[in-house]
Amino acid sequence: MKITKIHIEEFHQFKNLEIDLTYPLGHAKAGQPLDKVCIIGQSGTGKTTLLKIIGGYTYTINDLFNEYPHHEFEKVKVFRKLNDLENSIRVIHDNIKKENIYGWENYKIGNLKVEFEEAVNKHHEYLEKIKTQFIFFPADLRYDFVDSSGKSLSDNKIIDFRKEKLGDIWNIVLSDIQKSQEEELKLRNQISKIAEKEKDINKINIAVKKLERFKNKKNNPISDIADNCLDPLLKNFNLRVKRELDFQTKEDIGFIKIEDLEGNEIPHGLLSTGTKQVLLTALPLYLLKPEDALILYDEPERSLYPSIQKLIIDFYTSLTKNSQFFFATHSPIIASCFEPWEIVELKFNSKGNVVQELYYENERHVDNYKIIPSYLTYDLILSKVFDIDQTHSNERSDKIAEVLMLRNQLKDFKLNNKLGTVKAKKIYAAYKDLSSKLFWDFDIN
Amino acid sequence: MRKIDKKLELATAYKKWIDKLTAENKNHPVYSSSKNKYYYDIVANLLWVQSGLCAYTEMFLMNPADVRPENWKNGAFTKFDFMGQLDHYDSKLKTSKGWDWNNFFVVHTDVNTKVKRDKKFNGILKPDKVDYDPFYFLQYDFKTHFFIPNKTRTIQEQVLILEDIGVLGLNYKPIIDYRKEYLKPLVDEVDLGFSSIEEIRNKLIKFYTAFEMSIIDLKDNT
Repeated sequence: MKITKIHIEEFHQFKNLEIDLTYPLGHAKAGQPLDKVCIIGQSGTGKTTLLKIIGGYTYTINDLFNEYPHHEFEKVKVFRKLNDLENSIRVIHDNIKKENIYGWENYKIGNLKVEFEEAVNKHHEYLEKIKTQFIFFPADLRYDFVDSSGKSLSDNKIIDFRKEKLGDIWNIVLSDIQKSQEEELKLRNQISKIAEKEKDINKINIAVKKLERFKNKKNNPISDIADNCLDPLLKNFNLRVKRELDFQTKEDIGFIKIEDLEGNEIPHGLLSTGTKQVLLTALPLYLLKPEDALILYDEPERSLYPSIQKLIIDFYTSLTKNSQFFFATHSPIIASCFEPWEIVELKFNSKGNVVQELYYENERHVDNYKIIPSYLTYDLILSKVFDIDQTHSNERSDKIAEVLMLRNQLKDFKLNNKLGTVKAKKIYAAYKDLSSKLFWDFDIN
Repeated sequence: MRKIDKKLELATAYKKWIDKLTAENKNHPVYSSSKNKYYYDIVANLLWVQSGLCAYTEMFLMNPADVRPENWKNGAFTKFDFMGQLDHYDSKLKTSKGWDWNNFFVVHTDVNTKVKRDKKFNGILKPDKVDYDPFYFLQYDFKTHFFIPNKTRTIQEQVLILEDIGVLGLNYKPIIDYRKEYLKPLVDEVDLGFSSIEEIRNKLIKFYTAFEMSIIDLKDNT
């Protein structure tokens, strides 16, 4: 399921807020729901609330009402699309039955109005086919790997890490790992038996090759996770997945093991929060391989160094098919990974209400966007997207002015053929020293 | 930073009051922006002589027509909203001569609160000084949009001017950004021959000094 529009007439700090979440005119996917959305805005503008509304108006309504009184949602409407089925949703509280229900409006299949029952049946039919429908990674993800309920997350259609046990991620592959390990043990035993009984070097070689073929086949779940998911990210931390596991039962395996590049296993408790963040946010997507899912990340940049922040958006989205992502972030690096129409910037207006800062003028067309993050330096992203007016310190300004003054003085010495004087040499030394401290970055400000 | 002719001809009620204090050699009342009945008269008169611009950075603060002589009554101006703050050029005089006309300018709020504050400076660049001439003291580097000391001043003078440029916020980063975004397309129009210098002069509403110096800089570098 994908969200195409959110209309909030009034809810807390939001007033008359209409967020279009489709590709703009002039885009190859014009009118279709955005594949990924980045929500930015200063603290208090309601980024996380918006994520919760998106979750609540699709899959987690009861959680929404546990947090906010139901009557507050009467003026919120969310427009959704599931394959060719479109509808908008209002949440209505049934006072008699004491339950919250979704009120459907504007339901259409293939752009044609249909009867309510037909739309609902289609909705259920489509949902039934989606293995993982919804994943929510909150900002305060708990890093307790060991805590597991014993069940596999692949059994859940809705995965909300505010409630799920993180250890359950690993249960998705635990049986596969055990099977693989058992198969390997069997092959090793075969080699031992042949070696003991036959003493025939050819037969031993055949058995060894069989083991090698098995190990080379891509049916080793640990190697698969290492090669295709975690190691490309973990190399940024000088770490990798430990591939050789010594265990008797799957209970011995515990959670995924990480080692340094010299092969020393790092206890989970000693892993950095950045490493844990990467493990716990990438693994579920890789293992579940969601299709047609709605995936929400609150503060995906948490504890991650800028170089990794730069990678993760493309990385996460590459692990899924036809899914829609929402990221709420404070990071200019994360924001720089999005097209302008994929950014929802929330800001307070003069009345204290939250509005969306629009990056386009007149018609919502790709050609009318005036702020395009990929064209900007981080300095400009901070000032134009994040509205930070001072992107360098007063000290830097003073020093740039000084270096320009010194250069000017040197030009004057040159003009008067006095560059060889002691004074000119002293100024040149000061100019070079200060320039290098500014990394010679003052000509283009 | 333009030269400002600070004629005190609109706020006549304030003028009468301050002249009397001076003549009687009396102390000024403690400065408070909210407690003095002449506060808005001073601000409105200054905004008129400053053409609605920050006295130091030439940032646009308000349309000067809003404080034109026709809008005054009996030498006083009613309370009004304006961008910017009333600055004591020499903050040391704030306690003893807190209401001295010669020490007042209306400036951009951030320049006052985030840059100048009570910093010490040399007092070389004072926009209403008789001998102040921006083209004598300053130069504009169009590549970086920084103000720097005029290269014709002595090296010792340049160091002092540089300090004052910093304290008065002429190179405060957000203001550089505004100035750059405003002037670059206009100077480009001249450079590429789409407009004459005179046509752009008629369009300008702020950053007059930087524009004139940019044209000089442009000519020097072509």
